Amino acid sequence: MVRRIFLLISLAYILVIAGLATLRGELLALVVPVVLYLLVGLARAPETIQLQIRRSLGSERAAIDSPVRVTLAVSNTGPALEEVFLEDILPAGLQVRGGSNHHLLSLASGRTFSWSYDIQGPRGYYAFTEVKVEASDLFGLLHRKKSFPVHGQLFVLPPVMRIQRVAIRPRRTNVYSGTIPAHLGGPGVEFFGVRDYAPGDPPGWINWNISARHPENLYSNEFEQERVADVGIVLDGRLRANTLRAGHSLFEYSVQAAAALADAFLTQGNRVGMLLYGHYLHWTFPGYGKIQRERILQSLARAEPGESLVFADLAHIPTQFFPAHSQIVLVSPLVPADYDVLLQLRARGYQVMVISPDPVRFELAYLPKLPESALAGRIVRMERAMLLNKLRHAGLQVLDWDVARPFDQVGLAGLGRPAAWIRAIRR
Amino acid sequence: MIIIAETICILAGMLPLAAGYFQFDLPLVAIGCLVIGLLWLLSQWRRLDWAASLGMLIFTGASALGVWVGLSPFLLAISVLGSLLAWDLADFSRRLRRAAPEDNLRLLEKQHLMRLAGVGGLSLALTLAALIVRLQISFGWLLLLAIVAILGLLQLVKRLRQSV
Repeated sequence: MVRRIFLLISLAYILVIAGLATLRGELLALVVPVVLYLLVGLARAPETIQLQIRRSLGSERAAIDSPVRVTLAVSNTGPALEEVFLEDILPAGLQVRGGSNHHLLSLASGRTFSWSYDIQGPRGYYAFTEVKVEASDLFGLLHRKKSFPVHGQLFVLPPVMRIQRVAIRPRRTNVYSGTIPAHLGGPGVEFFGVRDYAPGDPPGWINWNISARHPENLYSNEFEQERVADVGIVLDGRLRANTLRAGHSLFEYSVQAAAALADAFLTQGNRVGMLLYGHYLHWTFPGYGKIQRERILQSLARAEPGESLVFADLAHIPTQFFPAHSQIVLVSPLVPADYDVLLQLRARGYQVMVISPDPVRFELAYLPKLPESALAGRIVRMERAMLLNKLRHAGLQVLDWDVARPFDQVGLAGLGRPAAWIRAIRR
Repeated sequence: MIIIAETICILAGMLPLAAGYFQFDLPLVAIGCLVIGLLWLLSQWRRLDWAASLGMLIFTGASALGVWVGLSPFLLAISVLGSLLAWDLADFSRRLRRAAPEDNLRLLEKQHLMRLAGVGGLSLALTLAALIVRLQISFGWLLLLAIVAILGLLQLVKRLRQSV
């Protein structure tokens, strides 16, 4: 913009010098419009920009691609601004769906200008930082720019699919009653054993068959206590494990699974913590209930896959975060080197469940249908099947998830508690 | 509204020059002015923003040349004023492109055109006065005016530096 002023000044001086050099007054007369234009423009140039800007978001949390209304109110507390350009700087990733995040207007002193627009975006955490203001005179000769810090935040949360029940059996449970079988006799639903009758036992508990066989005594049925447990969800964000194809990342499916599992465990009353394991560690401290659900969802909204030399393999999972003999749920596409680490976790007494989005099927879906890719796919699939079988034989609960199917469907079949007669056969 | 005003201003910059050069039996220069004017018009419809600065410089240069040739200074003054206003309007329409669809652009356009009309009218009046009124000034006054001009320039540069 300063270029325009220098262009006019140069032009004016050239004409003046030419007029003086050739002694032609007409040339000097031609300078008059240029000089007058400059003077009027510069005289009305804005001295300062004094604004008060407020931003409010319709909601600080939203679902993916659902619109959120942003409202801005700009009050001019300084001198009048003849031409002012206001732009609400959007965090990268967000898109304007309705309205506009910028406006060009004339703002008189003491006036307030308000406007709203709608935004949407993919899963993520978005921090609003500033509103940029550019004011100029009506001729656009002199521009003043200023950034006003106006902070705000928006969490676009991952979708939470409802899984009715996830069957886990950690070795240690907490004191509160819940839904996890606690390997302890007492009040419950599932048959656990038989013991001597104790005064106060309800008559319905008395095992009449055994009592008839041993008439000298009465025997009562004992049920397995059900309690809540500590569950640690580990979300694998390593780039080497999470395939990226045609702009689609397998990590998004892992996030969906982690959200669904966290929701299911918290709904069952368990204490749930979450560790994001990627180019850094992000630990959400364990907790109960809806607030913890919100914390985990916000943590998942921020989660990004990344690469780090330190966390290239799972060996650096900080096990001190997880109480001894608790349940660990690893959501990871897995790489062959993870086998040893998972085995170590199991050996330390953790009950380990692995939810593994299938990277082979995911990647093959985006590859051209060539015999070579089909053959390569078969080989890699066999390797993966061997790895998963080895993990199952080591006592880990493994769910191989074809991401073409929704996680709630897969979870219902693979994670739910088997029917009583199936459990009886297994015993 | 702006595109009409801009077209009128470009024509105001082009036609007096072409007419003047035709009168002085310089048809090639006149045709050159017409061609440049038409290209300027075309460039505005194609939104080539740089063309306005070039057009204004060429028309002002042609006007200065016209003084030397001896064309009517009234025609030249109109040409310079027209090209200056067309250059301003080209930049204004460029700035308007940043506006949102729901902005009240008619108000901005109206304010701008009114200010421009005021400046244009005053410029024309002052230029005509400068062409008609002839003053003999002494060397001392001339020196004083030159000093004022230099000081004004320095002040302007200082202010621009502050703003940048």
